[in-house]
Amino acid sequence: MSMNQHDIIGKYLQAIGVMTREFFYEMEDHILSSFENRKDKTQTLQEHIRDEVQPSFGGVKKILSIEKTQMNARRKLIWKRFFQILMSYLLGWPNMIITAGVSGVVYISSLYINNSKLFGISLALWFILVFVFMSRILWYSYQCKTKKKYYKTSQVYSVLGNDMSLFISIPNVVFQLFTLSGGSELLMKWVNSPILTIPGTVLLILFFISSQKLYKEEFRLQIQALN
Amino acid sequence: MSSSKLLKGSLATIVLRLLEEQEKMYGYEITQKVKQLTAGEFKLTEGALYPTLHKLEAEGYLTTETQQVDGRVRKYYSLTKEGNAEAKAKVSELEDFLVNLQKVLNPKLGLG
Repeated sequence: MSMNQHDIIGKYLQAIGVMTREFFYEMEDHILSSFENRKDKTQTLQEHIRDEVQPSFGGVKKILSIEKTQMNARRKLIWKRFFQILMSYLLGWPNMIITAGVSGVVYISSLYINNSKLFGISLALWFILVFVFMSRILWYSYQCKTKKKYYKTSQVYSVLGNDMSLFISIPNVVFQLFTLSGGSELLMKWVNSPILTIPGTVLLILFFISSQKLYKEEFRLQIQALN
Repeated sequence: MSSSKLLKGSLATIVLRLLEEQEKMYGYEITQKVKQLTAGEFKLTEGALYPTLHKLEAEGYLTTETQQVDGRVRKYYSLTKEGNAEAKAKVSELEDFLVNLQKVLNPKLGLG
């Protein structure tokens, strides 16, 4: 593939609105494979895209809808893998060790700080994780721009970017709902109860380490494979 | 009904069957293989193929790997263990359907 061909395809895909790296590469390979096997050898790459490739995909709208479908498929895969990891931790030794550790810390620390503060610390851990992910996603988009890539982000980053914003909203919405409905006392009672604090904290820690594993598998592997 | 509509209904089976035969294939290669096997009678559009590939991948029947080919990234699809079982089941289901369809279209042959 020559740089000129890469530029022609890149500009075309960018112009029609293809945003993600994975779909960009799949389209680029498809267009070039099709171009290399064209019947009319006098046809230019631009003509081939316009007269052969675009119609065979069913037009620009269809190309973009394929990208969207692929994103949804990837979302399914990412969350499926996340829950696989989480379940393996829940049913394995990490759960036992973390539960024992958290229980110990809760009872020892209850002499110095209250359980709501401990729960708050684990919640802060979760927000730090979300912040790290979001920074990574924004940094990647920024790098695509500075390195003059024809795509804006990767599908993994795009999916996680959307879903992480939901994770930030959920705890906030829950706390606001309790406060608005006059249930803040009940909420504080729950947060102060070790019966809820311990499993809640354990779950947040397991979410944290599951996300870390997913981060290693999905983010780095994908980038190494494709760049 | 046009042949393309009939083809669309059996596209997942065709893809699974082809991948059962070949270890791994990429999107364009699949379209060309179908064209070659049917002497151009089946025109597999990319607009139908890629959503099928992505759906099968999401369902866990296909796995993907990327390779650098001539300075570009090529995405290969191959069957998972579940995909292998699904390919066999789908092909068998389609074969049974075709036998029964033949009986309906040619009742005399069915009686013989």
